[in-house]
Amino acid sequence: MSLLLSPTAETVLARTFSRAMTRAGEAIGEMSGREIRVETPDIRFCRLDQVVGLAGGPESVVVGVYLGITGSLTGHAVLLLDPLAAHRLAGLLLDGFVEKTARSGLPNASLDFDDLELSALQEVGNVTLGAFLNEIGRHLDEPVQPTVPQAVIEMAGAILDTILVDLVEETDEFLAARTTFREGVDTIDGTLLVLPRPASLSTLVEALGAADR
Amino acid sequence: MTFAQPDRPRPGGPGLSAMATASGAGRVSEPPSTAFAATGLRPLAIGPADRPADPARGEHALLVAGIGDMVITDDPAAGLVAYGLGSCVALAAWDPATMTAGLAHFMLPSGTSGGGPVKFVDRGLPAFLAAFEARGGSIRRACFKVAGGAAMLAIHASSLGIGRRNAEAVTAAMAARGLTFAATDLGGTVGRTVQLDASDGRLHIRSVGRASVI
Repeated sequence: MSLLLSPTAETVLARTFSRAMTRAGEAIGEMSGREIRVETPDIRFCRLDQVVGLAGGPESVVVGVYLGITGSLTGHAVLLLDPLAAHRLAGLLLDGFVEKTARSGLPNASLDFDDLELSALQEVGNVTLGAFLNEIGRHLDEPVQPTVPQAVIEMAGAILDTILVDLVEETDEFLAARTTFREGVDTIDGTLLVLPRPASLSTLVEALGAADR
Repeated sequence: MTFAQPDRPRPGGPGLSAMATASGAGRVSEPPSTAFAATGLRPLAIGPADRPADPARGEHALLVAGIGDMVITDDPAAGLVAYGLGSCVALAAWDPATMTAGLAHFMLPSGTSGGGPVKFVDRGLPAFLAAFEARGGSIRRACFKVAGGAAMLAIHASSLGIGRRNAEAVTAAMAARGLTFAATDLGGTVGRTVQLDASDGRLHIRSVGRASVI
């Protein structure tokens, strides 16, 4: 199938996703206790080969926190953080505990993450996607929930490849929602990418009162 | 066979597409990151986009097999690359007599929806082999190598098995045609970027913190 939605439905979906992505970005700010600037969410239809581009270069090594979306909307979400940002974000959450372990005083861009850091980042994923889904869920009768987060240190392309494989049996065109967030001087560059299962969008479109007539 | 196509307008109204911002989204491919600079691979200089690569300037064509796509060349100076394989599988074919090189980036064992020519192994493998022969290669003479099929994320109950199923599907489909692999690097839990060197048929494999050649 392909995504055949009316222009009205597309617009309403885009607005809803945009609000939800903004909530997600704000949730990261609240968690870290810092002012986090959330970029205007980017909501678009993509073909398969374009989705990988949304996550930066396919070979860039990132910390990816993957969560599935279950309930009346289904799909996938992944929070992609560059290693430097991931160490920093984990450090903010762990109240300097991890930062103390970096002896050099230089920014820690290593690919070594301890269990505590990974656990903190999984929680970031959980809270971020939770905020997104709460916003979406306001329009739905049945709840939508994230699955247990999984953190991997991997090439962005390989993470997306694994996610997309689960979607491509149905379609080659996806609704992708993406936002990036930054924190003042200490840059925390991250991307949240949400890929709803196309077939499950119709429930949301109906709930939003924008179903094709 | 082709590079990934650039953004095309989506038919059916402005809707979402018009609302999208242009903050770098939709970039289809990027140069390899520097994260692998220390892996000791022979760097392949990439020619500028507005003209063909010029070997006299040390430039070589880098042909990218996007997800579900394939690339085939008879230019021995070319590199054929598939970035970021997770559960996907890349099949490399190289004919030492004609220097024909091909790389296919399979996603799933079988299926029906559209997509790239080699999205599914069942219909994609014959298409890839036919295209390889059409470009002058011989599949009887060719050296085949295969990599990918990792299990990285437990997306749902069966997803950890998709990499293994892909690997089995390629192996079985090749065996059904009496074709064997000269080398394999399948399974595991880490993603791979593979690059076929069309000058010698070697397949360079990069993972986070690891590099190898088969």
